Amino acid sequence: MKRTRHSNKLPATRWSLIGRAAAAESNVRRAAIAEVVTAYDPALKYFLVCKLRVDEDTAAEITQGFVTDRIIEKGILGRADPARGRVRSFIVRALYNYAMTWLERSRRHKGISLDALPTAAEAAIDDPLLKSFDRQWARNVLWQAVDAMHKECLQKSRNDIWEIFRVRVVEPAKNGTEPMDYDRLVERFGFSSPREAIHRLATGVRMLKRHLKQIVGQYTHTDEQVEQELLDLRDAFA
Amino acid sequence: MSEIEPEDRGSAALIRSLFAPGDEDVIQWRPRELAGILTQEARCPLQCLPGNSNLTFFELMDCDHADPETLRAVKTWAKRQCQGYDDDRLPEPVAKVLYACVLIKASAQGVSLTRLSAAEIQNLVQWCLAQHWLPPEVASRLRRELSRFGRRG
Repeated sequence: MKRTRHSNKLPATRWSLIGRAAAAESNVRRAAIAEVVTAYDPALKYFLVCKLRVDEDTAAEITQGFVTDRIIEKGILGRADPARGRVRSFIVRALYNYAMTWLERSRRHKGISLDALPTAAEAAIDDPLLKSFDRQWARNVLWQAVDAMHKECLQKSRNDIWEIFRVRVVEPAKNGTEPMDYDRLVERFGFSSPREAIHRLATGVRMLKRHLKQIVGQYTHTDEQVEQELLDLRDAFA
Repeated sequence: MSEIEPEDRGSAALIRSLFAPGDEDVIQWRPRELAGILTQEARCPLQCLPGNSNLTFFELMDCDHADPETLRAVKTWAKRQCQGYDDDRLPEPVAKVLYACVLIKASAQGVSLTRLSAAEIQNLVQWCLAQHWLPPEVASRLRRELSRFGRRG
């Protein structure tokens, strides 16, 4: 099965439709839903493609329906009980239930063979599946946080922080390139002392950590849950 | 634990480093860069000194009789850098070399700045000299002060 990195088969405008569908909700809730959708979209589709063996278009359709029907209309995130496990486990199980109903309905309406559907045992949500879901989620949260950091730097006219962080941290992580050498940093950015460079990099690190926290905080309810999500983020690639 | 796919390795490394204590795992200075950082820092005016002093670390090291209070101020700053208290802290190995330099310089002048024994100071200097990235202009100054310290007995 080909795995699509940062896959998002749905055009961006479809997500804006979802945003409008939720217009009756408060601004905060809409923003939170948008964050959830952005954070989880690739992981949800990956789960459907790998576990339920649907094609990518069907996975996109199911995901779209899940977000609209369950997350926005029925507000299931508000029912996620911290005592019963992590937000991601809750979401993936809710998606699984939704997808099975969706596939069964499609089978009846479109005459899809039952053989095409996985058995309950095959579709069981096991540890490797949750691990792979966690990694998709973690990767997406990370790069969302990097994007948010970049936007903040632009808004605050702190391109100096973004550029050194980009050549030193972001590009190597994204493309596997070598971080720009210190001597070249001095040449390019004109630092008169190492502490100038280090201060900017440290500021960039703090910004990125803050954005990571904000992003996981969008779909958690308490400080403890935020901390747990951050630990899960750390452990996703442990 | 399942193996991390090649496309995920960069994300995985960045996430791991973000959760490590301090920022050094994220920034990850390579040994060859430490030399450049140390040399540039040693050529900058020492910001830990009061007033408008333009004295650099290398100039301090090259004074025949450095002012004890200046040595004390620089040692306090270098120690804070080693302990990671400052926001713009230098990489730990660089801070450690600066700390060793000022301790051996003071000891060679007979100025006591630390509770470390003579042997401990010498060991610290030897550790610095064993760093393959140590720039020659720093290594030569360390050896000179170590030799002066040895002559004092």
